[in-house]
Amino acid sequence: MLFVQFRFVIFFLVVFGIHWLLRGNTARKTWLLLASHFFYACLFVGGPDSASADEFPPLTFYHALQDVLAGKPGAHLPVGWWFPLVLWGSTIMDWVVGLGIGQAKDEWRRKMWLFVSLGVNLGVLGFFKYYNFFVDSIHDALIWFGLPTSKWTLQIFLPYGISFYTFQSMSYSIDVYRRRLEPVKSFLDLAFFISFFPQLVAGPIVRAMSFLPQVAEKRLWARVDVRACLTLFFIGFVKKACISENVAPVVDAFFSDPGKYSVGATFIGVIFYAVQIYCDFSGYSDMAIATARLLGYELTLNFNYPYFAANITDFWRRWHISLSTWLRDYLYISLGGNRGSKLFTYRNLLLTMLLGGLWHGASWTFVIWGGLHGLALIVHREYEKVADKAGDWWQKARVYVGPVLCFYWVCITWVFFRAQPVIDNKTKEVTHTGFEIAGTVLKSFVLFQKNGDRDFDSACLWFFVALGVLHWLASRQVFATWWRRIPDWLYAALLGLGLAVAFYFVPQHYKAFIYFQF
Amino acid sequence: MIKNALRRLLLILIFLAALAGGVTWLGSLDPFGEVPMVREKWAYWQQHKEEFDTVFIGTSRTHRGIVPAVFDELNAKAGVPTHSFNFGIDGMFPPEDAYVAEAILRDPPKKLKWVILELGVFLGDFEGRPPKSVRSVYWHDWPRTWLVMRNNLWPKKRPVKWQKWFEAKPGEASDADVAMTHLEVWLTKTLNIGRGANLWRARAFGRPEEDTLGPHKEGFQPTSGDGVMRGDVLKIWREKFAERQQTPGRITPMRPYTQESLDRVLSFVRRCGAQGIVLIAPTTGELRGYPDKASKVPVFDFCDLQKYAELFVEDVRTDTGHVNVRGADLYTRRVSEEFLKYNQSSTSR
Repeated sequence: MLFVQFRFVIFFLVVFGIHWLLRGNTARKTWLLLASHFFYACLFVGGPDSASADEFPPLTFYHALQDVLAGKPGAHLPVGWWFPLVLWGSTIMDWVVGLGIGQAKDEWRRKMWLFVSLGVNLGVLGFFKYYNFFVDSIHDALIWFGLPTSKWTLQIFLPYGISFYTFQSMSYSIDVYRRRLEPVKSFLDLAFFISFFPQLVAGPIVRAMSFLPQVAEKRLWARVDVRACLTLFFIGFVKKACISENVAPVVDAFFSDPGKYSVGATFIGVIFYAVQIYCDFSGYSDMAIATARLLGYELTLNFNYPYFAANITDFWRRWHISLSTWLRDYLYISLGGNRGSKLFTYRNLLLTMLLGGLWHGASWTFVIWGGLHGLALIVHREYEKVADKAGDWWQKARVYVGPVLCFYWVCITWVFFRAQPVIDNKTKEVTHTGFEIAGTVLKSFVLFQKNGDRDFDSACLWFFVALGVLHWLASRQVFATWWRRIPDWLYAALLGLGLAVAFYFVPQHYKAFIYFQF
Repeated sequence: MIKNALRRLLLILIFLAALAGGVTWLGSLDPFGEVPMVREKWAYWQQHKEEFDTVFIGTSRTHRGIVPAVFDELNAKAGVPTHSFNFGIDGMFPPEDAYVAEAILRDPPKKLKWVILELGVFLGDFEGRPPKSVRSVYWHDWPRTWLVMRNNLWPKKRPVKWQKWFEAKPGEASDADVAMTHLEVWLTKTLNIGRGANLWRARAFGRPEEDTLGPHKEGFQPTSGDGVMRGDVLKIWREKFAERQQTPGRITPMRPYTQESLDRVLSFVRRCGAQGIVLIAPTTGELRGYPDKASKVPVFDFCDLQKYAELFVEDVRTDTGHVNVRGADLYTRRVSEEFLKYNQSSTSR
C-alpha cells in the first residue's frame, strides 16, 4: 500500500474519520497504533510496490485467518510475516532501556543501558542490512589475496523501514541518556511514536524530543489547516506519481546500458535521476507530513529546495534534513564534532558521511557516494576561508556559479548512488558491476567523451527545463499564498480539476518509493 | 453545526464534480490513442469509416481469417455490393470486443448496414495479460467491469455461498481477489490513469512498430510465418481435431455473460439501423457457444467439421484457432456464401 494508491485513500479515510470521532487521547493513540500496524502489514503482504489485486491485503489476512481456524496456520503466510516482530522487539527494548536509564543510580549503569540499546539496534540493523555485504566483501578480499574461502551469505529479507525506525528508536534512548528527555512511562506512547504510519517506512526520521510531547497532548481538529494539508499532499502526489514515475523509464533505460548513449543523452539520464530521486523522496515526505498533519501531528521538514543550494554545505542543510541533522547530532557530535584539531574535525566529517552513505545501502557505491560528499564538505570548508578574501567580482559571481557547481557535483555523486550492477535476465549473472556502470557514465558526464550514438527525444530536455522553471518559481514562494486567498468553493473545484490532470499523467505501474529499500 | 456540515458536503460535491468533469473531458481525448493493436485500426476507422457499410468485429480468427477484398468482390459479383472493414483484433475476447463494438456503433458510418460479430470465449480474468496493462485497462468501463465482476462472483447467474468467493489455493487468486482487481482497473480506466504517461513514454522512446491494417488497409493481416503447422503445433492440432471428430456437431449453450454482452452489442447495432450477424470461426480448440434464440440474430457457424471440412484440412491451418492465407481466402468465400444466402432469404421475406 503506497500513498499514491487508491487503497491508501480508502485506508486513510477510515483512519481519519475514526480518529477524529474518538474522544479520548488514549483511544485515539490506540486506534492509530492499530492502523499503523495494519498499514505496515499491508506492505509485507503485497510488498511496497504491490499494485496487483491478487495480493489485496485484507483478503490475504482473511485467508490467513481461515487457515488458523482450519488448523493449518501458515498456508497463506506472506514472506515478511515476522517483520512486525522486529518492530515490536525494537520498541519494547527501547522502552525498557529508557526506563532503565531513568532509574539507574550511577553513570556507569546509565551507560550500560545505552550500550544495550545501541548494541541491539545496530546489531539488528547490521545483521539484516549488512551481513551479506560484509561476508561478500571479506570473501572477495580473501580471493584477491589468493586464500581459500567459501561464501557464508544468507537469504535475508530486509524488514521494511528498519533503517528509519531503528534510528528513531535510538534517538529516544540517546536523548534519555543525554537527559534531554524524560523516559516515557507509557509503552503505548513509545510504540505509537515509533510506528506512526506516515513516517514508519521512509521517514522523515522524527526525533522523540519533538514527537513525544505531541503524543502526550490531545490533538485538536480546530488546529488542523486542512487546505494546507491537502495542497501539500497534492504537491507530493504530483512529485512522486507524475514526475518521478515518468522520468524513471528514461533513467532505467539509460543506467541499464550507459555505454550506448551520447554525451547529451548522458546528461539527460543523470540529471533525470537527480530529478527522480528528489521528486520521489521529497514527494513521499510531503505526503507523509500532510497525512500526519491531517491527524493533528507535526513531522520534521525533510527537504528545502536542495538543488538551489549555494554550496555543498548548504545542500546538506536542505537535503534529507531529518537524516543529516540526525547524523550531525548523534554521530558527528558523538565522534567529537569540531572540538579538536582541523584534522580531527575533518576525520569526523568524513566518517559521518561514509557511514551516512552506508546507511543508504549495503554497497561500496553508497560508501563512495558518502565519501565524495564528505570530501566536498571538507573542500568547501577550506574554500570558504579563501573565498571570503576574494574580490567583489567573485562575491557576485559565486551567487550564480555556486548553485550550478554544487548541482553538478551532486549529480556526479548520484551516479554512484544509482549505479547498481546490471544482471542478465536469462543467465542471472552480473554483466556490468556498479563501478563499471559509474565509470562509463562519468566518462561522458565529466570528461564529455561519447559512449555511443543513442539519444533521447528533445522533449526530455524541455520537460526538464519546464520542471526547473516551476521549481525555481516555487522556491521564490510565487505559489506560496494565492491558493490560501481564494474562496473555498473555488479551491475545491481547482483541487478536483488538478487531480483529474494529475491522474492523466500518472503511469499505470508504480515503482515503490526509492527510499523504501533503505 | 448542521450548516457547517452541509457546507462541507457541498465543498466535497464541488470537488467531486470538478474531478468527474475533468476526467470525463480528458477521457474523451483520443480514447484508443496508446492501446496496442487497437490504436492503428481505430485511427484509420475514424478517418475512413464513411467508406464502409460492413464491419467485422472479432478476435485474431477474424483479423487473420477474413479478407474484406475477397468478401466484397464475391458479393459485388452476386449483385450485393458491400464495402467491408475488418476490425478483428488479436486476443480481443468478450467483453473487450463489446467495448470496441460499442465505440464503433456510438458514432457509426452513415451507410452502415452489416455488423458481423465473431463469437469468442468470455474470459473473466485478464487473458494472461498484466491487470494494469494498457490493453487490460482501456475496456474496463462500468458495464464491462460489472459484467466481469458478476462473472467472477456468480458465474452461472445463480446465488453462490459467499465463502466460496474467498477460497483460493496458496499462490492463487480467489474470485474476490479477481473481482477487486477488476474494480481497481475500472478506477484506473475511469480516472485516465496512465494515459498521459503513455503518451510521454511513446514520445521519449518511440512506439513499437505495428501493422494491424494489412497490405490493403482493410484490416486483414495474414498470420505470420509460412503458414505451415509443424512440431508441437501440429501435434496439438491433430489431438484437438481427433477430439472434435468424435462429436463434430457438438453445440453448447453460450455462457450467460457472453450472452448478455452480445445482447447489449446487438441492441446498439439495431439502434443504428444495421443488421447484426454472429460468426463462429472454424476452430477446434474452443467450445461452440450458440446465442439464445431470444437474441434473434443469424448465426454463421463455420465450426462444423462435416459441413466445412475444407476449413479443417491441415494445409489451410496454422494452429487450432487460425487459418493461413489460403485458409483465409477459403473461409472468407464461405462467409460470403452464407452472407449472400442470408441476404437473399431476408430480402425474399
